[in-house]
Amino acid sequence: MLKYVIFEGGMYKHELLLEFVEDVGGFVIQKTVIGLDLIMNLAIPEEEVGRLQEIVQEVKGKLRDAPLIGTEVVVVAPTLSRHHLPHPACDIAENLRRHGAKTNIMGLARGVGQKIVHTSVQERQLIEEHDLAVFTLGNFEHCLRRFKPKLFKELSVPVIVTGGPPELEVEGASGYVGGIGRYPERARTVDMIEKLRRVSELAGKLIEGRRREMDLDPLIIEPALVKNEVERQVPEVLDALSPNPVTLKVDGVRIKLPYDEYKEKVASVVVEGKRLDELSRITRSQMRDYILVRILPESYFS
Amino acid sequence: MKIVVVSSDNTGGEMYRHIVERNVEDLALGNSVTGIAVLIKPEFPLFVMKVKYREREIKNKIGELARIEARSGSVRVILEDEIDLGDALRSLWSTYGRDKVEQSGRTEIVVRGAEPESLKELKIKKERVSVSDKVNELVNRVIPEGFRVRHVIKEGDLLTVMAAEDPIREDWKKMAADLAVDE
Repeated sequence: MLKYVIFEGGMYKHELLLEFVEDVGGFVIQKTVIGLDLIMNLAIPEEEVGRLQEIVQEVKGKLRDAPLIGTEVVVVAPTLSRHHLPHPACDIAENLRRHGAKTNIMGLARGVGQKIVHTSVQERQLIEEHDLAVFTLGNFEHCLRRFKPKLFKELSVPVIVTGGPPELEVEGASGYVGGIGRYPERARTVDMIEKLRRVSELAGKLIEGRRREMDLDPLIIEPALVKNEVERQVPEVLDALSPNPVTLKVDGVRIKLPYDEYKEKVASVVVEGKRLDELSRITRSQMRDYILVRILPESYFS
Repeated sequence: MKIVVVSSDNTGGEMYRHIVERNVEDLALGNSVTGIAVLIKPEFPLFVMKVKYREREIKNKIGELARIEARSGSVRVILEDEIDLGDALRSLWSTYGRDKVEQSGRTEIVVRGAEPESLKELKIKKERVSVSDKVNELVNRVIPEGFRVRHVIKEGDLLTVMAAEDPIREDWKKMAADLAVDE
């Protein structure tokens, strides 16, 4: 299984790391150079982390676990009104990004109230395109316990719920983080930032659990390899203005190019000697008109 | 100003107290509102908000909002409150042109070639915003979005807004009437 880590250090001798990652069959997911500083999101085989750590010490850098690298997380607010946005949703999304996730924020059409609350089929499909969903709900235990579970209990992706009550068991959710209900200001206190960190930590655990589960029947190819090949064989994607034009997901990639125009080109990308459409399901995304690639598991071919 | 929150969910009630406080601050209503009482019953569900306030004219002319210092060929405008800066700049730009208006500090604007007397009379907002408009805005910002059935009572300087998902019942109206607003 691949282990996802963030390297923070300088440009000095960083080629050593790149060579090592390549040699052991790992991937550089993202490389950001800020002046003389370098931040790299890396994926390497779990058993090679010790050796990577030695090289990192040699180049005087830092390495930290970031299981959310290579994931796309959706932060779902009950609506897009100022009652629910921007503060809770944006603070949570920002903290998730600091832990390596690619985030999207979504507002439901009717996520409010006790009687009118519901999600549409299209909204559910859009949420399920992500690897994990975080629902930022309100302050009252009665509402969260009795009426809000219908928003997420049918979803197939892991769900984290945030709300006002400090502790709560919410039906249909994989985890709950309390003390983050509806609030009208940016999270600035140590206490609030600690709560945001708990959301990211829980998200990391859930994603790691999902990856371990998938390891029993692994994907036929690594999503990071598909990303590299798509970027090499469909260079138009590098000109797309969307952030992260090829977004990594736990079980595939989202390619931010128009589906009708580029479907064939993406399908004909060759990865390890086979066409991409032989190794994955390529569909139209509910998000704009993007292309969604879901890689098939090994068992599908046996 | 005193804020009273009566809620059957203590944690949620305290969080709503904070929401009310912050929105009063954001809308700069601290001097106009004398007391607020909130009743929250998520189990019905019912949300009642009573606001007692003093209606007063809100300043709108630059002469009322800022100190004006006339200098040779230019006028220096020193605003009392930074919150008016955006509106003041917009109004000065449209009257004197961008090249003649320069922001020289957080609350200071220098206008070249302006007459101090006519500048004092310049209005920074097209329409005067009354306190009751702001109080309505406060209530709409605080009341949960899903509570769409509203019943509003305005008695002098007291505004009572009841919000629920079902038609408002008579006994709820009585509960709202019994809710005291401390000053």
